[in-house]
Formats: sequence, structure tokens, C-alpha cells
Amino acid sequence: MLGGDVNLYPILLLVNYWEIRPSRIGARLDDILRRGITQFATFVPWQAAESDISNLLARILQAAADRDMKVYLILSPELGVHYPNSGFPKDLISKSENRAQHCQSGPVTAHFPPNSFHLPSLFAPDFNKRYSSFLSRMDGILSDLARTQPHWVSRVTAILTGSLWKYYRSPSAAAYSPFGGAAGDYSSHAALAHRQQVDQFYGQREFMDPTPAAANRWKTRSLEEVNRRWFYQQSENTFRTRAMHALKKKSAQLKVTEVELFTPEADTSLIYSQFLQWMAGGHVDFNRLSTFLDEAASRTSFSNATLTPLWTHWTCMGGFRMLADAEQQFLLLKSLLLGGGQGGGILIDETEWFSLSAQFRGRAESIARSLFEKRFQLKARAYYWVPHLWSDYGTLWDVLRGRLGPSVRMISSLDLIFSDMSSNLLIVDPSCILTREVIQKLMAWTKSGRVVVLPRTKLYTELARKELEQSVSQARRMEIDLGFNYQLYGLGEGKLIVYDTLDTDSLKGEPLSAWQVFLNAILSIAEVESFCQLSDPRLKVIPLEVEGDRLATFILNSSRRSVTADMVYSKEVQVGDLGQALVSDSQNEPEMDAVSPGHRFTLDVPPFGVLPLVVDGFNLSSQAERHVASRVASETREGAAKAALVELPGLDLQGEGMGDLWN
Amino acid sequence: MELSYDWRSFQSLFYSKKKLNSGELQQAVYLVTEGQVVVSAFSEGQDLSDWIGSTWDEVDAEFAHREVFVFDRLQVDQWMSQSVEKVHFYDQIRFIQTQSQPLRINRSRGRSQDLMARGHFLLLAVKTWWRVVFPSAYGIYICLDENPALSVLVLVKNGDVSSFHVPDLSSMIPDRRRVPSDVVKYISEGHHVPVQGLFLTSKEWAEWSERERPWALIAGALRADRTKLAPFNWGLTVLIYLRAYLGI
Repeated sequence: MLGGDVNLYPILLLVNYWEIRPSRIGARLDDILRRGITQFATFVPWQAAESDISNLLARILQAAADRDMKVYLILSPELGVHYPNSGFPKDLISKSENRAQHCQSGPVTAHFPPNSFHLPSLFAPDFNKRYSSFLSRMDGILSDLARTQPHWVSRVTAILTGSLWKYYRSPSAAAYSPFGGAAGDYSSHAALAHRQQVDQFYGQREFMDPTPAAANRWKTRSLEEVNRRWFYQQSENTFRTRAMHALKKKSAQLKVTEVELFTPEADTSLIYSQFLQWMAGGHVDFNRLSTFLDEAASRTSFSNATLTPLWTHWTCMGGFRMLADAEQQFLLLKSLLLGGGQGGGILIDETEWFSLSAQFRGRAESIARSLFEKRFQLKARAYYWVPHLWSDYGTLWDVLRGRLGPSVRMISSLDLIFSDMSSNLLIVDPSCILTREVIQKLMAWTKSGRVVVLPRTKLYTELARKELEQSVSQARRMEIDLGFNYQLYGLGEGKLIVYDTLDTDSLKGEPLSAWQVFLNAILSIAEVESFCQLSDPRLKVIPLEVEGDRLATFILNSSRRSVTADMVYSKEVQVGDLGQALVSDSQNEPEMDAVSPGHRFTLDVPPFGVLPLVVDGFNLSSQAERHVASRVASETREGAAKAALVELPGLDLQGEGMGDLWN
Repeated sequence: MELSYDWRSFQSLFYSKKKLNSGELQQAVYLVTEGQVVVSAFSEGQDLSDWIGSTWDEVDAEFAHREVFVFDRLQVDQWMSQSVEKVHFYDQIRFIQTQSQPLRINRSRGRSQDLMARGHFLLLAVKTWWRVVFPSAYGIYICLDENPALSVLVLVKNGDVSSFHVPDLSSMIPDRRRVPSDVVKYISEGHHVPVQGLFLTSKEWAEWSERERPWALIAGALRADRTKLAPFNWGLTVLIYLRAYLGI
């Protein structure tokens, strides 16, 4: 039953309030309730809210409260909303000066039902004024209801999303790879804000070291792309924070949750593919949708210092609806596993959901329940730190993702990486600006038993460069040359790898293999290895960690043919059926039909099949415990050192023999 | 709220769900190219994503036995951008389908005209010479399985689809909702245009929708009284028969 009482069950059904005739609201909700749904989500299209003279929103909240149903109001402007212009006010988006532009100076257009339109710029003053007044209006409505009819809103949660930022990409670059090319809005409003922000950012003292003129080197044209990246990320963060504040001005008690919502069918990367569908009389490019899910799931956004889980919105308006049942089910399960494993899930139209077979729904709900109860989790084993989440990054990222699949995450918040105990490896992208504070944090993280990979670029401030030099001056150093040069330092219990990005330019002959060799070395040093290798590239694996030191591996076959392949594990493991294992666990019964332990297993995966397996033999908890112990030890050491410095002024902690005290 | 462009209902009636079959590997190949380089590639039932980034003549050589349609990216951008001026999604798709001309067609099997003619038989029919004999503005109300939830009203103006939605029958007397002629009369009065109702089963509609020219089937269904026109219209019946048996 889709009715968990805790926020955001991984399968959330969409019932748009404005699509229900006022006289039918009660009957429609009764109908939904009869089907076992106790919670639903609805978009609140901006334009609909502005012209809601019959108080339809309040009426649905009342009707839901009368039936004890939870309601999730998606307030951020998003694509894929079944409302003209996806709910954006027509007068606002029809003005050319309010339009966003991609890096090739063309308008960013959403070619998706109910109509195609040019996306507005989130930097346009008109947009921001109007959006802020929309949020204030929503804040006013919800706070009034909370005062006069508290039970109407007691089970309401507002959802804020990342809105349009992720769609500001060039369709031609994104056609090659979903997040290919330079992302971001290149409109005149964005350019103005960018210039102001750059001046402000490089006005900080650190960039003016040793002289104020030093700041100019950061503002040169050659760093335009670098500067745009952090600027777009900062702007997105500010947009999210402002939205949260606007919404909670009066309704402080309102529950608000932040997510990243993707509507794959409306994504920029599918525009040319859609064009070809229309010309070919086709439906939708299933493979592009499947690839997009992989790419989207590996990017972790955040807001207000918390991760925003990935939600995939499958609409009933685009090509998804016209896919064959097997294809639909494959995409739903894949998005459920990738999103739900990270605390997100899928958002799907209620009628579309019930058009699926009862057997499939039962299977999806059983997975969703396990994800909701955190019995399965898709943990990050390595992080890739970038300045902007929606931009394209180089070969190292591609190779890393190819090796670790969904177990590697791209993220733009360093603090959130540090708060994750499960990961052991952090790779810093060469387009990141490195300040002294960042280097200090990275060194501290390294010392707690982690591996950090740093590029040697021109994007270090003078202080950061000195900080790095000082940190590694006492460390054990190893010079390695396997394709290209890098230095390996032993820092505390961790390791630091510094590679020279200039070398990568000289790798034009065989850059891919050189990167692969380098990555192999990194993964080996960090002791990060993919849990399972498959002999057929048509198969993909989603490894979810299960309670009790087990691994749930879902083997996905996105092809229309049955695939027979070998699974190769790095350790001797025992493989069994996941469903049976979970049933046996819950009933404390011994498992039946478990295959004898081994390294290699052969399996047949049917077309569009998702095969759930349970794997025993990975010592996952001991690895995690080792990381935690190492981190605690490092923190204790730092705490003791600080205390010692207070008690014993003049103590030289770097002095000879001091390190031995801890060993 | 009654949406003027209820795409969901419109799509569910006029765009059919895909069926997996194994005989799709001989389908035509469609490419968007930028200069020589393939930006996007599609062929029904086949994953061509590995060809993105190759040159178009490499693709052409690989699929030497198939029709290959090549579109220029800059032109595609232009058509797509111009389509935004149209009011609703169906019009926008039609605009793109009619404007877009392939830069190159290899091994043409005379299907270039078909590219523009793709679409649902009924929506294409209202754009043919029928528009001369039909009123300048009228509606077509399609109701499947006598279920108003499975219905859509398509308003047509000068041969073009001007809006589509599920009509609100909630203020009708419940008994009258079951009488096709009363329903059509009610809708017609509400929209101030003549409306032609078509009442049939969803199975029959699905069967017709899969064909380019299902007119003989329609004529047969009308003759057998499985499908009802409300109000009965001799003129329209004659037009359907002419198309079914004489192809005009």
C-alpha cells in the first residue's frame, strides 16, 4: 500500500488538483483511497495558483484532511506539468528579454506537452519578482489555513525542487552525452549577475595575495568557463535558499522538503531524439531515457546544507506513456532503484501507475518498502567534487563512472562529502578553485584514512599552494610515472595523490588508456573496487547494500534480447535469490536454493529484465567500521593536540618524536 | 478546471502505445547531423547511440540496405524554434512534420512524402478536401465504451485542430448522459458549434488507429451498427464510404 506515514515514500503518485472538477474532488479522493493510496503529490502550477479564484487548492486540502490523506505540494516551477507552459505565466515567458540562453546563444526550449515554450531565465528580474510573490502567496494561503483550519495543513508537506537550472544546457552538446557541453544560462541577465558575482568573489583577501592586482588573474577570459561554473552553482544554491525563506516567512510550522526532480522525457538531451521520433512516427528512444537515468543518478545535488534526493518524474504525456509495458517497467524499476537507494524515488501519474499490471506494482512496492525502511541503500563509494553539477567534466569522470557505475557520485558540496562516512575516495576536478580553507579541509579528511586525488592546476590561490606544500613537506612521498606523472603522499592514515594536469595535454595519443591506468592505480590505493564485473556490456548492475553485511545486486538488461553473461566477483561469494532471502530473513528460516560459493557465476537475464540477487561474502560492515574508527581516531588526535596547545603554550606538535606518541 | 488543451486525453486517443515486435530491424534510419557528424540517430527498435559522433557516411555504409534520412542540425533548430509560435503541442508537432525536409535521403523508397503525412487517420482526414464540405468550425466528440472519461472533444477550425479536451457533462441530468444524441446536443450548445459524435468501443478504435486507411473498417462498423454517429449524418456517411471504397 502506498501509504507510509513518514515523508516521501519512494513511489509517489501524482494527482493534480486542478485537473479534478470541483464537484468531483470528494469522489475522486474516495476513489483513490479505495485503491489503497493514503498520500499523493500534486504540482501547484504557478499560473493556476495565481488565477485560483475558486480556492481549488484549499478545497483539495480540506477534502484530503477529511480523509486523513497526506498531500505533497510541489511548488517549484518544473517541466512536465500538465498545464499550459508547464504552469509558467504566459505573459512572463512570452517576453524575449526574460528568456534563458544556452552556451551556443540559442533559446533553451522545452519541447514537451502540453506545449513547447522557451524557458525563462531564472536571473531575469521580472521572473524573480513574480516568483517571489507566488511563493509569498502560497506562504500566505498555507499560513492562513494553518491558523484557521490547522487540520487541513497538518498532513501537508511542501516540496521545493531545483527547478530549471538543470535544463540550461545546449541540446546539440547534450545530444552526444546527456550532460555534455557547458551548462548554464548565458542570457544578458545572467551575464550581468555573473560579472557582479565575479567582482565580489575575487574581492576576498585571499585572491588579492600577495597584491590586490593578483585578483585580476582570476578574472581573465581564460578562466571564464571556470568562473561560470561556480557562479551557476552559487546562483542555484541562492535560488533554493531564497525559495525556502519566502515559503517559511509566515508558515514556520509548514513541513518543507527539498528534492531534485528530473523529468527525463522533457530533458534537453532528448530534443533531437524527439524530433526524429516525430519524423519517424516513432515513440521515444528508450535507450536514451535509460542512459539519462544513469547520468542523472550519479549527480547529487544539495540545498541548505543537506542532500536533495533524486526523484524521477514519469509523466503520462510524453513518449514514456507510449512505450511497451516491458520497457516502461524496466525504466520504472531502474529509476526506483537509483533514486530510492539514495532516499528519493519515482513520481508517477496515478492513472499511469494503475495501468501497469498488478504483479508489477506488487514487485515495485515490495522494493519500495525495502528502500523506504532503508534495508537497501545505494551508498557512495567514491566522490567526484566539481564546481557545478550540471556541467560536462572530462575523461577521468567518464572513466570513473564507467568503472564504479552508480556507486560514484558527482557532488558540488565539499562539506556533504565529509559528512558521509561510507566513502573512502575523493577526486577533485581540475576546474575547482582551491583556497587555503579547502586545502586544509581536504588534508584533514585525508589524514583520517581517506584518499584524496588533487589536480595540480593554476586554480590554487597563493595561500592554498603554500598550505599544500607545507602539508606534504613532511609526508612520505612516492613519485610514480605510469602513463603520466603523479605523486603519492602518505598523510596521517590516508593518502594524497597529486597529479599534474598539464601532463594530460600531452596524452593526446592514447588519453583514454592513460586515464584508465591512472584510475586503476587510484582505486587500488583507495581499496575501492567494483563489487561485480559483468562479461556483457549490455548488462548493468546496481549494487545496494543490505542490512546484515549483504549486497543486493540488481542486474539490468536494457536490450530487447535475452542475455547470457558471467558475473565475476573479486571475492568468493555466495549468490542467491533476493526475494527468497528477504522472506527467509523475515521468517528466520534457512535459505533454499543458494548456489555454492564461487567467484564466477553464469546467468540469463530476460529482455528488459531486472534480476534481483543477494550476495553474501563481502565484508562491508568491517570496512565501514574501519573508516569510522579511523575518522574517530583522527578527530581525537586533533582534539588532543588542540587541548595540548592550550595547556602547553609553545609546544611544537610537528617536532621530532611527536608523531610516535600516537603510534 | 477544464483544460483547453488536454494533451493527456488527446494523446491517449490519438497516439497508440508501442508494441514490441521482432521485425523492426529493417526500419529506416533517421539522423540529425552537424556538418558530417551525427548528433542524433534513431531507428525504431534499435539502439543507435553508439553511432553518435561518427560521420554520416559511416552510418550510411553500415546500414547500406536501409533508407537513411538525414536532417541538418541548424535547420532542425530553426524548425523547432519556429514551432513554439504555434498554440498547442499537436499543432507544434504538425508544423515540424510539415516543415522539415531531409537534407539527404539515401535509398529512398518514396517515403519522403510519408514523413509529412504521418499522424492519426482522423486528424489527417479533417485536413483533406473534406474541409471544403465541412463547416468552418465544428467539433468531433469521440466517446469510447460509453464512458465519458474515455472521451475527447476535438474542436476544428478551418481544417486545423484548435483545441481538445474532455467535456464536462457533470451538469447534465444523469439519465441524459447515456443518450448519445443528447450528449452531443449538450456539448454543441455549450461550444456554439455543430458537433459530430462518434460512439464506439475502445477495441475498435485501437484497431482503426493502428492503420493509415481504416475507412473500410469504419464503413463496415457503421453498417453493422457497432459504431454510431450522433446525430446520424448522411453526408458524413457518404464521405466515409467514398473514402473506403473509392479512396477519395
